Amino acid sequence: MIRPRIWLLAVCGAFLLAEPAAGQGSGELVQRGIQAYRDLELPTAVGLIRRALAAQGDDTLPEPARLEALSYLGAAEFVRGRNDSAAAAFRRIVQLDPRYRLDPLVFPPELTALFASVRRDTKVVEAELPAVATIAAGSGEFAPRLFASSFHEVRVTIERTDGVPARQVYEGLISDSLELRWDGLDATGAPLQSGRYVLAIESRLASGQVVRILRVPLDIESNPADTVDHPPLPPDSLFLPERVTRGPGLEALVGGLVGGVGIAVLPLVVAPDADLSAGRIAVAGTVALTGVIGFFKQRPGRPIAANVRANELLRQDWRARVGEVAQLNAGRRSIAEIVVRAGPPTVIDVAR
Amino acid sequence: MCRLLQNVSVLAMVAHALASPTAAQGFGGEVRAVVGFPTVNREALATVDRLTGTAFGLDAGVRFWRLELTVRYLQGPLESSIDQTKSDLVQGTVALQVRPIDFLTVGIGPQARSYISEGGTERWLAWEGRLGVDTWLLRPALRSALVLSYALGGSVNTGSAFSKGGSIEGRLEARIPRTPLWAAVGYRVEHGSLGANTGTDTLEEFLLSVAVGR
Repeated sequence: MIRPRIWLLAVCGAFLLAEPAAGQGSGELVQRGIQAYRDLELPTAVGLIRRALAAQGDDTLPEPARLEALSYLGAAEFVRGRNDSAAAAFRRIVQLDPRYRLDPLVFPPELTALFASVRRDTKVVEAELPAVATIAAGSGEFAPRLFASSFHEVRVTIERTDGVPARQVYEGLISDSLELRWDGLDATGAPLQSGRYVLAIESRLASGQVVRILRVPLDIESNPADTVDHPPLPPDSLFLPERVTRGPGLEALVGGLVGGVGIAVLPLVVAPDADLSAGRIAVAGTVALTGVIGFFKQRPGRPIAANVRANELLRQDWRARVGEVAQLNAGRRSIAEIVVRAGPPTVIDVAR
Repeated sequence: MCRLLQNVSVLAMVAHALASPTAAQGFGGEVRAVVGFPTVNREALATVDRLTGTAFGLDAGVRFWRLELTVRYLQGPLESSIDQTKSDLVQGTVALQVRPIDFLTVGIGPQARSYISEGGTERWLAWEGRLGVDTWLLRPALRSALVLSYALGGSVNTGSAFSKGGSIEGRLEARIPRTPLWAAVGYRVEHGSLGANTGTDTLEEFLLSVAVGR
């Protein structure tokens, strides 16, 4: 019964002894790997660094440490004569950080030359843009910056999430870096509508083949400037009647006839015995005839030219003010405020 | 009692006119230079005399809101058709009017007419009630006016009793283009009679006038 207990203790002891190695932080593994590389214990160095790079969860290497680890991994593989593995490690460096350079004081020229060759052949772009930016549509203030691993051709578009391009921002060559300028407008010149979009950056070979697409999700909120209401049509009270109503003509006719008859007849009533002049008939006739003429000149429905002109001027003034407001609103719509929120980028490597 | 009711009704009419929001508002007035061509038929004791002549004068009016005051004065020589004797005709009228609606005036005031000759002055004085109608015949250039007066009472300084009287005047006014002036042609008849049919006095007059203001 004693032996099984001894074996059990031995197994537990082995686990306890082995735990420190398994529980070592990835950063420490990288340091031990670097030391092994310097001691020319190359397989050990490769093993330790690969274990460190494979760590996940809380123990995942931060990017600077990952870049350093990959540098020494490539160097160890290169010294071991495994150039392909070294190139693969260096390619991962370039993909992680297109601007990364091997330290020539640490690594030999052959190694930096290999790294430069890998950079030259790896077409990678990194985008640097603010998490949140507010721009005025049309003024071109949104300026994401691109950094390239090497000289190549890129095409940058803002796409809807269904892949339909909303605006091509750039198509051309990039060397080290490139500052883009987007004015917040879509291809039609209108401010981009609110919604989810993608800033898609395609890296291409000289043949035109797309080798890599960097996709940065954009959440765009478009807030058009307040517009001014159109001026209302002038109220009816401001318009003059354009046609003669029944009143003036009737007033002229009745007034003329009453006046004429009154002048002709009433003197006979006032002075029945007097020998009155017939000249009053001329005055009476003139008044009555003028009333009749006034009726026809002001007959109902006859257009009043002066009023028509005055009303037309009123309408022209209103139309001019509507035009001014429309122009003002068009200007305001084009200066909409656009808020751009950028999300974490994703990469699509297209197989060659 | 009847007189009281009349006074109350006149006051009510004035008050209504002044309170009306559609009143012809504001202050205004006009002055009219008048040339008259009077013919006077005077009948007394079966004798008929006919006097003709020319008279000149002024006709002025002021308006405040719907209240109007008009004054007329005309004077000129007359010549008798019987014996060619000469006399002067002096006419004067004062009327206080109210305009209850835009085309209608109602007023009251004295009207005097005097014949001045070497033999003395004969004066007819009557208190008249007036009713006037003025309408536009063609805005804003032509209008007509008709004024009817009825003597409410009167006197004559010849010793005879005043019996009755009245007048009628019609006028056609035209605005002279590009000026603030109005030209008018008018016709007027004034008639008065004495008591017991002892005499009548009828003035018939054609009038030409030029007015400024309104």
